Amino acid sequence: MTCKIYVETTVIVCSSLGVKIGGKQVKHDKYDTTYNFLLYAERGYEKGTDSFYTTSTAVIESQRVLEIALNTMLENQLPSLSRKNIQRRRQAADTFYELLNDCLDQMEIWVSYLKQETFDSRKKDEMINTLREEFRKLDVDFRSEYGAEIDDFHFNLRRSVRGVAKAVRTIQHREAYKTYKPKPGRADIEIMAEVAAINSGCPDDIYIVGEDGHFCAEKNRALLERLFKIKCRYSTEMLDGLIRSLLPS
Amino acid sequence: MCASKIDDSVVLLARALRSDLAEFISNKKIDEEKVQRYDAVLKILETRRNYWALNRELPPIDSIKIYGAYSTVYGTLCGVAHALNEGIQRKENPKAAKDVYSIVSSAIELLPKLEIVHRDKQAPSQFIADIFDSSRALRKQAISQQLIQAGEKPDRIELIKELRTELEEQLS
Repeated sequence: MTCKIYVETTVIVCSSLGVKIGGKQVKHDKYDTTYNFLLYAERGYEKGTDSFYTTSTAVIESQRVLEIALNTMLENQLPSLSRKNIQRRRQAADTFYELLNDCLDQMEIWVSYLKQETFDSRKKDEMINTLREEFRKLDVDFRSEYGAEIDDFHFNLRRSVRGVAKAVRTIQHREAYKTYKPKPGRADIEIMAEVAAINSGCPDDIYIVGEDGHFCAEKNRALLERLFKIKCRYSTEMLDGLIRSLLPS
Repeated sequence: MCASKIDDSVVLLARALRSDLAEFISNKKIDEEKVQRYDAVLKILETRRNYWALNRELPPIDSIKIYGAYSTVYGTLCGVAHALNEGIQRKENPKAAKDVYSIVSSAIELLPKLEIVHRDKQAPSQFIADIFDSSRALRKQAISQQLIQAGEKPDRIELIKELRTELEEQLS
């Protein structure tokens, strides 16, 4: 039995954010693991083995996430930057533009090593409905155990009290997220459904590799394995010997 | 959107510049008028660049894309001027002009769309995304022909650190 490894948005994004400037490397915290993991995809591509895949939604989402992050950064910096003289404004604009291009160039290279397949759109829609329903049930269980997010409350708390409560709740949730990460986004559900639709009835071992708890937290991965026999793993888990056992030679 | 009229002076000038280049390839003659036209296009493009540097009329990321596209066209035309100059000095014209004709055409084809955004100060995201894709293709072509350089900027270290934090937010 062969295996198919699907790469999810977070791996593509994290592995694209790393540059060498003046001999010093600046990168995302997860750059090294995701980069090393995708090197297997590069080697696989060079050898012509069909093991590494992604989906159209994962690719579109990767660029969108990167652009949203850059847009937020710019929004934060614009009030001070737009008061500078034209020389400084142009320098800053050049830097942002170069940064966007560098990240996208790297992203395009990684994506070029990953195969993309077509899928039955109706089948995908059915799977989206199934996934939404199943995640809704898990979300209800999560809320009953840990309470609602602090942002969901509308009563009047003094700001400082609210801040402390939010910090405490965030730490609690961060721990809890290792077990289950609630509220998967639209794109997450679509990627799961696309992989499931492409591989329904496929005898191969199917993996999704990501850095996102919506795929890889304990209960999230258990759900995908139960529904579609898809195994979700973090890239560190793949690098920890698993990938060598999965890939031929 | 494209049906409405734009201030097409720069578009027409740039198209004339392309004809000048074609003429130069065929009859190997360059005159004062052609050089002035080239300068005029570069001057307008520089004004546009300055206008879109961290401009707040569009969402910041879209402004950067428009700025980048104007910069790429400007940088490419500057690189072309330099390449033509060197060609003349080496007496290798019109070979040098033939080498850059295709990239000059690509750069000039980007201008009408850019001018629409510049006139309206707004555009659908898809329209800007198309401009961005074309400008990235032009940039790659210009870098491979060594007409522009992908510069290394020291203050990108801080930017990447900040981008990492923003990405964490997005990805969670």
